Amino acid sequence: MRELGVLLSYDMKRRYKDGFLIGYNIIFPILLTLLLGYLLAGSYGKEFTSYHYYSLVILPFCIAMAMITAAYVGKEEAYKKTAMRFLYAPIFKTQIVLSKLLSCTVIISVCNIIVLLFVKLVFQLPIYGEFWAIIFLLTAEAYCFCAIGMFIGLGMKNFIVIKNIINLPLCAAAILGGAFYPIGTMNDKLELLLKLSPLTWINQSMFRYLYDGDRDYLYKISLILILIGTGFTLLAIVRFRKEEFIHGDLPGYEK
Amino acid sequence: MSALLEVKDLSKSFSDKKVVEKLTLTVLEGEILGFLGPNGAGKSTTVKMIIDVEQRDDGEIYFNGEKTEDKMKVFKKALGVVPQDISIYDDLSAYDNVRFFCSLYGYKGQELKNRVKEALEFVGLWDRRKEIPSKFSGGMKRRLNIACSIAHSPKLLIMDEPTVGIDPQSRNHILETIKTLNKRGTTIVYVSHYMEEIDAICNRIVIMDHGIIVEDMEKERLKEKYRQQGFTSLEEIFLHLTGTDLRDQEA
Repeated sequence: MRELGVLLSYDMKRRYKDGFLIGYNIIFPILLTLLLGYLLAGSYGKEFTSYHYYSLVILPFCIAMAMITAAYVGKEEAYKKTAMRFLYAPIFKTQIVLSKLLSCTVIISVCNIIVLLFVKLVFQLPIYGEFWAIIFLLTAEAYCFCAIGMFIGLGMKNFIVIKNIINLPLCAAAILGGAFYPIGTMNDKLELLLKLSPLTWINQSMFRYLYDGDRDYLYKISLILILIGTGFTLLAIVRFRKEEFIHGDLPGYEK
Repeated sequence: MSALLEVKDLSKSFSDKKVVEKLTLTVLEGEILGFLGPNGAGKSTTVKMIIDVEQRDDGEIYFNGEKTEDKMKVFKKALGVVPQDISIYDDLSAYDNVRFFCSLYGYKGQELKNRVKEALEFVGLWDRRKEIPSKFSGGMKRRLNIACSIAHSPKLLIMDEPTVGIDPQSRNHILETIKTLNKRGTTIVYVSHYMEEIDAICNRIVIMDHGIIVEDMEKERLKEKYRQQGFTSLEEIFLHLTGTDLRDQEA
């Protein structure tokens, strides 16, 4: 347990100092919300503005993209050539996986709080008593996607391949989830397709809570995300291979 | 001297190729064992199996008379490894590097600070402790690599070519460090291609080729044995035992 604390403390410091991670999870969602909100301002009303819409849908999309960050974090020791030291030190693979996963989840959740506070203040997003419930949902999402990213990152050697593999389904999920433009259909088959995207569940749960007062749906989705995340955490631990942890190919990253 | 590490019938194959074949080796407490072999001889695979980084196909490893898999945590706490690749964080200070890796062995508070200070002083980097290694020379990085491996005072230290690519001054400093560590009670397994280094610091020499041990003897006895056959230097003995064919190392 003490070793987990040591690893977690160092991993937190590394994440906290990671300018890309912080920038990607704070500046990028704010800029994207500003841009899309501005471009599509005419398509929305005065009470529910385009900024309100994109404030809510861009954040889950950016959190989902953190899957790539988590995959990189899983491979970080391989690129920095320090992986060997972890493997012959008296620590367990469970501690290695958990420290990386938890540090990613915590830092991304802190970024979420900052972004949500920003959009609430700047765009007058009508979140009051629901603030912490939304943060709970987004933290569950961050945990889920980081666990999937960690599972993929620890199981593969080449980060560029990982990134390419992850990018495509993420973008598809974002489009289906309405991250770039609201999507709605009366066609049952298309409706089913939209519901395949976890971002659809997350976005719907936020809108239903904020505008219909449906709190149960939001907690249900949060629970599902936590369960999926737990499943992938267990898979990442069980499938942890020393060979993959040591070796990593990242072009341009050589000592 | 009693046996600190015993390796019995260790075997490993990759696909159909046998890389290590029924290797048996004993490391005595307090010695500096030189572990030699041409590229692809199976040295690195053997070391990786010993330190539990590579799964072995067969064989047993004992540390202090007990199977390592039964007491893995005890074994790992007593083990130090200086990897061939410089294994440090370039963006952490020298102090933080040693502190982090030492803390993985359960040390904290004042004891951790003392150990970090001692290790950095030992390799001559205490004055540069606040600097990040990306600004260090190759020799300084190698010394920091060693500091990270010795701060927890391992009983057994395995060093895999710790002097590759550095200047003679740094090499001399590292070799002196190894001798001092040994005098303080650390048993050392020294893997290297540099015969003069092996000759300068080791008590016993093990030569490996094609996955098996071809010679295992005290250094002076080994030199005496082959002197009678006309081989006067360790390099000549090594080439006599392993041949002069070029070895292109396979990944």
